[in-house]
Amino acid sequence: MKNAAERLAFHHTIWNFLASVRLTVIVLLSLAATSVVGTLIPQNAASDWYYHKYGETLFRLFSGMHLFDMYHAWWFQALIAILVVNIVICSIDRIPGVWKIVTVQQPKFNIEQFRKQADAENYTVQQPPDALRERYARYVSRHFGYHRVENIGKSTCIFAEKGRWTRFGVYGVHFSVVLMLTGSLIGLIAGFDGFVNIPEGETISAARLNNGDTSQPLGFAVRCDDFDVSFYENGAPKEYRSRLSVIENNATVLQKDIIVNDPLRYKGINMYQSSYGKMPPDEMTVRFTAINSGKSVEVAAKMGETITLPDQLGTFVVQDFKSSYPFKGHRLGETFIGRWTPASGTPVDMIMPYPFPEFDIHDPDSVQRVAAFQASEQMSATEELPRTITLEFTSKASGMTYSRSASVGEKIEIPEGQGTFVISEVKRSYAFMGNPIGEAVIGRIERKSGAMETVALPVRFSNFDKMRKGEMVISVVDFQKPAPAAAGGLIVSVEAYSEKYYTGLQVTKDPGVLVVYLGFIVMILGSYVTFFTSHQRVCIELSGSGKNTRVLVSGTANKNKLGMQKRMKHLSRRLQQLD
Amino acid sequence: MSSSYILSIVTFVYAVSACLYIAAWIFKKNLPGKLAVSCLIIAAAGNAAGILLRWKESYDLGMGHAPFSNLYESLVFYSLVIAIISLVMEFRLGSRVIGAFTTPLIFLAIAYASLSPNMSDHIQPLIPALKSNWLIAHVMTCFLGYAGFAVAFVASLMYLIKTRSTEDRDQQPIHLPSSTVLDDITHQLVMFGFFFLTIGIITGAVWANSAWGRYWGWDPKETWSLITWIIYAGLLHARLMRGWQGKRIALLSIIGFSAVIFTYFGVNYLPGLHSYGQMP
Ligand code: HEM
Repeated sequence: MKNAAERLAFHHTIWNFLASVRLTVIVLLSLAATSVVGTLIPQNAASDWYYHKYGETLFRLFSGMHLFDMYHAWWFQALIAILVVNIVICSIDRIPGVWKIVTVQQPKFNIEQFRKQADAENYTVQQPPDALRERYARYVSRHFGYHRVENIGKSTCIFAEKGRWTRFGVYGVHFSVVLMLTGSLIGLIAGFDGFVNIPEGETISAARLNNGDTSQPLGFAVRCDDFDVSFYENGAPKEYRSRLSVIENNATVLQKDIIVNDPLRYKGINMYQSSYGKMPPDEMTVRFTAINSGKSVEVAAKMGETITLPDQLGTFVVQDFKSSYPFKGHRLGETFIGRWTPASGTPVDMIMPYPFPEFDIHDPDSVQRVAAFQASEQMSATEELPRTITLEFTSKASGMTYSRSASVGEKIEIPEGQGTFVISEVKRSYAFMGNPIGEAVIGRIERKSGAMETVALPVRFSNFDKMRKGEMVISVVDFQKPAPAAAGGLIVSVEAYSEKYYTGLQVTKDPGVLVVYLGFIVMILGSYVTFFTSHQRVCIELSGSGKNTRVLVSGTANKNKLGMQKRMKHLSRRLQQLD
Repeated sequence: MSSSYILSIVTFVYAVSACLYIAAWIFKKNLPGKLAVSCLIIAAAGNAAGILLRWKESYDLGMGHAPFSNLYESLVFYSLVIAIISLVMEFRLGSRVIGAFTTPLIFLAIAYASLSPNMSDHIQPLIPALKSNWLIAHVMTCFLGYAGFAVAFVASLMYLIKTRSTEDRDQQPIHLPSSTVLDDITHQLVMFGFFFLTIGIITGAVWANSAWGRYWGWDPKETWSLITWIIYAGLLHARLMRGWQGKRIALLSIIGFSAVIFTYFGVNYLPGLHSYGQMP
């Protein structure tokens, strides 16, 4: 059993540790070291991304240590909490002492301490001390906040000091750290961070939160009246500008153009210009041309609305819009997709690329026109994969070539009783001995014996499979993107469509910002005081008798001792020049 | 005469100044020392003129922005600030030795800006996120801070060389200021650097808040500037502990400056998406 004295000593040790600068250095250097980790591992990415990047073992390890969101991990926050406790206890420990020094009515001056100063200035004046005393005291009173004149032994001392309060500067810095952390905590608890897209002309009254899929009502409505983007000559974006109206009770209460560095602020909620995009068009003009008669008609259509065509041609619906559409290795650009239901017969899906109004899927020239137009363009990685693939099987034994069509996952019989074949996947980019050789169909042959073999069939190299030296050489002949079944008779094109933008806004509310900003100001002022000002104490001792006075000018400061030395030189020079 | 042209001449003058400073230090001669100072003053004046001219050129091109918007411009500004701090320290110390250490650093910075093939010295228009007065304040104060740390690093190097040469009796004593003075100017410069880096991070946070609606986002560049700041805060406190003056502080100051360099050049090699030009 410990006795009371031991317990007290123990508490004392803990308190001293929590107030110690040693702990500060340990915590600060740990914060610096651990923060590095979060810059080496990208933060807050999707789990499967991490899984692929680091593999299973590291993934589990990192995830267990919360390294994927480490700045919000409990152990990182705990380090910050220790820092705050350290600051608070250190301040409680030291401020009373500083308070005494700063508020004392009659500061103590120890003459011996000033006499001992190695760099004190000495000089002699051919005047009696009493003659100097008044003059010096007046000069000192003008330059120091506090002074008093005292007789010590045979000499007269003028003591002065200034900048006592600067001793508080460092506590300002420390307090500002606490303020900023408090502000960020307020933001975390009472604020939110979200996102909203507003199409031109439309109104929203809620934003989607960034963490999770919840929607956050704003308490008012916002309409995007207009969005504009302008570019420099080199194509770099110059300005994004959204005109927003805030609407409350059906009345516009505020209207503002926002640009990237100039958000809209209303009732504690901020809206920042953050992104933009094009809306899928909802109105268009469609032209129908009957190939036989050459007759052509233009119809105003709406997305998803069925229109009845003249001359018993049936009905038509514009179903979809894609900002880019792949077709036989070419990009068709902005493309509408529609469905034509002839009066008699099965519905036909049609693609209507806006840049190629004459496009007819059954006319080989159409494709060539597209090809010529985009001769050098590469396929983009976001393209849709083909639905049906036509393969050719060439038998080694008979020399016969067979054509078979299949879609991914569909099992087909290999001719001449060689077993079955399944297309397992289509790779956008297949690497052969380290070289990318473009798209490839990957399939699996299953022999009658049950033996399996995987084959890769690069689309661009029809002889590739010869290398396998198998019974059948397989090659890909047609690599068809989604395309209509046989149609004919009608060319459909979109002549014009409504173009509309949406503006993407970051929506935030952070009631802690004011506290954080207050912390910023206190920190800047506090560090100025801490670094560039000091508590300076000066003693001017006048000794001697009769006509000559020996003068000692000596000073101390709590900081920047070298600077104080210079100041004392300056002061003694000044005093000697006084008349 | 274009600003790029002036700045490439300035690079050359900095090189001459560096050679003269080093010669003056090694051979303990006065004349090359005097010439070195003159060269450094001329180079710094030319450096400042180059920055002002570039500012004017950007207005002539119709873009009109302060020349602190890309790596080239910030390095050019960085060399100027280091040169000024070096000159000020030289006059305060009454010793030219410091120039022998700072001028090679200045030369490296501006030569990297002028000669590196992947560095564009074209004046570019500002993307929307960079159009902010906070940005100017941010870049200027950050680089004032980094320059303070650069010269503190130099003083720490000199400190380590000095203490090694005094410990090692066999060696010729090297002509350097006393270790007390070097320790003191390291502290002074770290305080100077810390003060401006503090303002730099704060103005950066205010800018981020006005552009993106958040004052802090833990992206690698932000985080590295905070790491640098924390290392120097650690240094300032370590000084207060018994037995930590002198050598360990010099080492911390060197580690701190490595963090500065990494914040500046290394962050681009980290994984992740950060680029201040990414929005929207
Ligand atoms: C991020 C957190 C902190 C910052 C930014 C900070 C900042 C500063 C600064 C700028 C100085 C002045 C240094 C100098 O004059 O050379 C200082 C001094 C000091 N700090 Fe901190 N500090 C922090 C945390 C702490 C903590 C947790 C303690 C707790 C022990 C502490 C204790 C001290 C002490 C005792 C001094 C010396 C005061 C004096 O000279 O009278 N600091 N701090």
